[in-house]
Amino acid sequence: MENLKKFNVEICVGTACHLMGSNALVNMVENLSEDIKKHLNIKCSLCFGNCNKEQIPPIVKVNGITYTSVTPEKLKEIILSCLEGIK
Amino acid sequence: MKEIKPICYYKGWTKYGEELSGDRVKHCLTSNSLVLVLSDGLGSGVKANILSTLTTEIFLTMLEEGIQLPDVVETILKTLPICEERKISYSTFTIIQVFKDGRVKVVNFDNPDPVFIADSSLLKIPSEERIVHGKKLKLWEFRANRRMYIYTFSDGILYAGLGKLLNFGWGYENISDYLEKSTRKYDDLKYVVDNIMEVVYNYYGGQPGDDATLAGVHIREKKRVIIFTGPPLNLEEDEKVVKMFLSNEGEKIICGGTTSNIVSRYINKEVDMDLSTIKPDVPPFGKLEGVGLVTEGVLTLTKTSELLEKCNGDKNKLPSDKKNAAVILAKKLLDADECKFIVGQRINPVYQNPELPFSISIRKSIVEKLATTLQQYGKDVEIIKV
Repeated sequence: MENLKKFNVEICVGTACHLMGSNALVNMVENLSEDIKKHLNIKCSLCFGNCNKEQIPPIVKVNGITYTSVTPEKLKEIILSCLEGIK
Repeated sequence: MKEIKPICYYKGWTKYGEELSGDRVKHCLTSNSLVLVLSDGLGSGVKANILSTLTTEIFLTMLEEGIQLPDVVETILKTLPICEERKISYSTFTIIQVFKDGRVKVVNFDNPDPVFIADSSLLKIPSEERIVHGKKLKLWEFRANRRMYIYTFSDGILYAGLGKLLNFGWGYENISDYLEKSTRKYDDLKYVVDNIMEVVYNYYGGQPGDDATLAGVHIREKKRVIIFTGPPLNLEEDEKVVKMFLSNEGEKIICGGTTSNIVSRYINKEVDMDLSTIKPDVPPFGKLEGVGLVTEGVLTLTKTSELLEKCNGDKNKLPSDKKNAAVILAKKLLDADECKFIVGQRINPVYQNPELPFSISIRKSIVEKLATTLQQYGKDVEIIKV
């Protein structure tokens, strides 16, 4: 069996992140092609506990790195570049 | 069953062409019991209505004042006025009294015998007969140690369809069987009573030939939920509050990201979120060991409060979406008899962020609004601020 290299995508769906559009991020990730999705461990968290005035929601952690003010386009870019890295 | 919680529900049709029903049902809660009285006055219309109203009012007033049931029955039988035409003092009655410790007393005078259903099956409970002032009463006295339904009805139910759809009316045996089947299938008092009253209405062809009333009492274990929402004001209090939350009896629910993190850290288990339950207006929900439901805080609570107000206390009127945190929370709250909220008062600095497009209400006021609605629906509500 092929040993797939995977990486973690954690989307915060807490109050502030939800209001700032994490629903769109989840939808975007869910609608990615199976080819990409098979490399992702998609998870969501109710709160990363680190949003404040500097870290503007929605917040996503990809492979442990925190990204703020994430839009669906930005998240797709991040995922694609991570994918490049593991290929 | 640890602690009994009886609930009751009733519905009736007035005889076709009459303004007032001769049947009357009323219930009250005394300090240690629930009492339900069904009375059917002689004849129909105004006279019957006066007789049955007198009967139910005297019963409930005296029982509320703590007078024992046999004495109340005696008073009723002595004081009912005598009908000028038929020279009889007449109003049938059935009283069901369920005590908090599980004792049940049922007294029946001339109504059809009550139907007892325990664990979804008909239960034949032997009755005792007693003659009081020349009138024959039937008494049942037992202890309810399992889930139980007790139905009582006026003869208008018994004779539904008489001479029309059914030669001799619906009949006691048929009604008992139908009650047993419906209760087994739906296990919901309101649903069963409403459903049977529809059948009665249809048997009468939409024109009830008599006042027809059905009342039910459902005896079950008291259901409790405890909701922990918002982190405690003092950081040092976290552990103490989590311990208090987890040691409470009843189903545990967490509403809030930070709150779920606090509990998760304390029990050293991760929250398992279900991504497929995310909705445009409500964040998703998940599970945590020992906790039945974990949701986001203020948005979900606000939506739940809205749903509860709209449904008027009837859980069948809630949306059927099984993957919506607010719908699930609303259902759990409506199912419960006692709702306890542990409300943390620490302010989340992010909510003050001017970048946010919406204003987020203060958690405390959302919970207070929710509590008021739940109290209107007869729930015992307690709010503990931490």
